Amino acid sequence: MIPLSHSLAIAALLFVLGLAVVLLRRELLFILIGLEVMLNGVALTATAAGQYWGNADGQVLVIMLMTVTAAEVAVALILVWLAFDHYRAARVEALTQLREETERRTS
Amino acid sequence: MHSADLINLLPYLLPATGGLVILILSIWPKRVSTRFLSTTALTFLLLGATATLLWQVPGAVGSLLVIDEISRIFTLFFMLGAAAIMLLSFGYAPIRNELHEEYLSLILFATSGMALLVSSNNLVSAFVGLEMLAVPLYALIAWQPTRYGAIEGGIKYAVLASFAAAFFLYGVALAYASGGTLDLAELNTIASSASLLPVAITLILIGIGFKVALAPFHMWAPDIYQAAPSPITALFASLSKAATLVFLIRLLCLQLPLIWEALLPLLWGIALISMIVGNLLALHQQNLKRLLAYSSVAHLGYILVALSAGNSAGRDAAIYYAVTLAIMNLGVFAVIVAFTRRDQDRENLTDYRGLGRRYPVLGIGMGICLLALAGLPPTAGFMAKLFAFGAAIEAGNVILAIVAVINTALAFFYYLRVIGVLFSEEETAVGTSLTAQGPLMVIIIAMILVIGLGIFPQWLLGLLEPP
Repeated sequence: MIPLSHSLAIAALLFVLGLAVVLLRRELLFILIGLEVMLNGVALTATAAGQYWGNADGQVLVIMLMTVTAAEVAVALILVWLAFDHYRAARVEALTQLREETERRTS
Repeated sequence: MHSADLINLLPYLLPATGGLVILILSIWPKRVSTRFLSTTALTFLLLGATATLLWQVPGAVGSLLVIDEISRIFTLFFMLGAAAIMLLSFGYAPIRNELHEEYLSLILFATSGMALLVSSNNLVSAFVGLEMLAVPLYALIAWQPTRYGAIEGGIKYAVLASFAAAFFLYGVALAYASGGTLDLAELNTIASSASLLPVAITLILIGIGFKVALAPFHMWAPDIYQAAPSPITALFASLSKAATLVFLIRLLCLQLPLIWEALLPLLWGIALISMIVGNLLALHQQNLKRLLAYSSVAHLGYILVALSAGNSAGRDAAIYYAVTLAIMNLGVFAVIVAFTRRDQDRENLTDYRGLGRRYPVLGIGMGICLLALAGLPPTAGFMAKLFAFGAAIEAGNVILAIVAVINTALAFFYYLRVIGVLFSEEETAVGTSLTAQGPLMVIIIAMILVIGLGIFPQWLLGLLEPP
């Protein structure tokens, strides 16, 4: 049997990997993939902990997680598609319409 | 499953059923009028609100949901608040022709998510509630994608909310790994050898911090406030924030004796940064919606001041503050909705010049809500701050209370600036056409509640007392 600390370490690595992808990549689709990797790290933690404690709560958590993430990604992908449709771009640099307005605007 | 459980579940089931019914109406062969749809949605919300009155408190549904006075107050408040948001949406010109079935049903789903979140006693049901609240908001923020910045706002919120959810869930999974339970009440009994628990609670705090926009996790808030249609901004500036806050209050009021000491510096730090950063960034802000976003970062800092006291006075103060903050924000955004132009919001403060003189009721309503946010007696905002800082002093956090009071004084500057612009002599050239009655109704009710709760705070606090 694999000890809990090993699986937790791998899961933490996955989470950090996903975090790095979200923070470093500039393409919207990669950011979504990074989020998925982060959530997979969570799922691994929950499954491993469920095995360690010998109850089903961890697996319930993973099933809930998968369902909710599917819904979340569906909506997020529609938004990315809309961005591509309107701006012809799938990178974050294209999204710069909203910004600070501390100076008095003359319009 | 007993029949009592079914009655307890009604307030969660009714809004969700309402959302499904409205979706079914959308595929009805004959065209269904918007008036009929909105009546259906409002009926389900009011039925849900009535169903909370049938609750036998204290009760529970399995180990997932706990039904007490806090969940009753907030569920009732969310149902009525969601009805107010719908009224605001019908008076909001830029998306008036885009109010289809989906819009109403998304608001209903979000409402049932909020109700789930405030009464969850288990980390899994809290997570499901949190996401049922967040996912409809992605779509609602980007409603009518041709509006300026709408898509950008939607994507930013989607990415940040998923990011926050990932942190929250990692915390949940680690808490489970350290104790083998997902039950909030049982987290308390985890043995002291569990070194993972402080990390887990910190991660959950980061996730919630992103969701409610505490500094230093507040960067997204002004953009989303600006991008969303004003009724939706009102929805997440008041209702959704209050829902997430109640979960935070439940979590922190467990006391978690073993890790409370380790958690306190973190809470203090977040409270200090939120107050100072929020107020400083709001000082020179020219865009009214962004200004309100920064000011609510500061308000959440005040709420954390109350919570870090860690006593029952702090808990009551935080709950009172959450309710009043939601009402005040609802009032301010109702005025923004009422003053909106035909195709977009008034963004810049100069566009509001002199409008308070021309429309006295709206102007006075806005003035009262802003003064309440600033914390002037006899409004509810003053009492909320008094309770919050009083709780902090009672617990010995004098320095934190002093910083909070200084920040309150600082905040007066920008709230008064908005009121000054609103009632200035010269009038803006940007024309306006006020037609809607809905926002007017909301602002008047908000005004009455802000003053009423300020003079008689025991209306709310009395409900929290155990009988």
